Amino acid sequence: MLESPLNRLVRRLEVDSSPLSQAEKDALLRLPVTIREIDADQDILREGDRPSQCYVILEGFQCRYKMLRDGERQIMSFHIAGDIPDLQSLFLQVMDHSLGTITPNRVGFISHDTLRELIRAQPGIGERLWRETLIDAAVFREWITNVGSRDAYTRIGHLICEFFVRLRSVGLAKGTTFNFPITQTEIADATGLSMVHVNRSVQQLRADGLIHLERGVCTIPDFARLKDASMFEPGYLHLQDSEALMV
Amino acid sequence: MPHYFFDTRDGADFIRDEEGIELRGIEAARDEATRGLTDLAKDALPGALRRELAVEVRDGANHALLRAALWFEVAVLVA
Repeated sequence: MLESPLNRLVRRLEVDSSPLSQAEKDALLRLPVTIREIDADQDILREGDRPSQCYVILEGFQCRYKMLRDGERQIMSFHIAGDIPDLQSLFLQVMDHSLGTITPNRVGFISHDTLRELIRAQPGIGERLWRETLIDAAVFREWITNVGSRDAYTRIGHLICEFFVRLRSVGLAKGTTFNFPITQTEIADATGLSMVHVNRSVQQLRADGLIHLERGVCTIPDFARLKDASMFEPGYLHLQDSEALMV
Repeated sequence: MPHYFFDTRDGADFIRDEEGIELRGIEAARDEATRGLTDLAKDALPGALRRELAVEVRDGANHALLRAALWFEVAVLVA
């Protein structure tokens, strides 16, 4: 039971709430899952799709985005292992945006019918999944604030802080070192900045000693400093104990 | 696709682009430099009275290809 691929999901659902009961845990880990390996830079769902299943990211990084008519891409969130990025498809039939991989991924698909049965049998899990979508919305609110009101330096610093705290909360950071496989183009698409300004701001964050970033691995030498410089307050992530996660 | 590097200047503050990006050609590089310049201006100009900003484009062999610059000045006309 312990090596179920859905352990990642259990961990995620416990991170921002109390531990699951044994019955809830068992029900989750018993779910039939179809595992798929997906290459980097592939769409999993496109705007207009009508999914009949949801998926849990077991390994890898993804983004949620919309393509504009002129070919511009707006990234609206990044997703990491343990997330169910298309949970809303359980109730909203048609995708109003796309989801794609950034790195190679391993994902676990669970059919909508199975999930509905699970929620009926274990309403506590239903509440937690509902909570997940509310936290997603809180993150979107923060991103609107980030893109609308913070300068480039702060905006990118904020994005890196969020990435780190989320990874750390599910045990995917080593101290303050973590995978950050996001290219400057992807940062530009996520922050509404030009690539030139992203490049300059990343160099400034480096020069100020706030981040070390090399070949997709980021280290934050002094999280308190980066947090302060980026106006990052983790409350919106609604982690069970945000302060305890603050290094 | 050719690789272009975008160095940026804000007065005496020069930042060299070590990563660069691939673009279709010099036209696309010009567009990117222009977008970059307006973006830099948005953060750098508020509160300033005088500022010179520039984006300088190099190719992979370090040849300077293009420079987009913006000169900003506020003249206060009443005491």
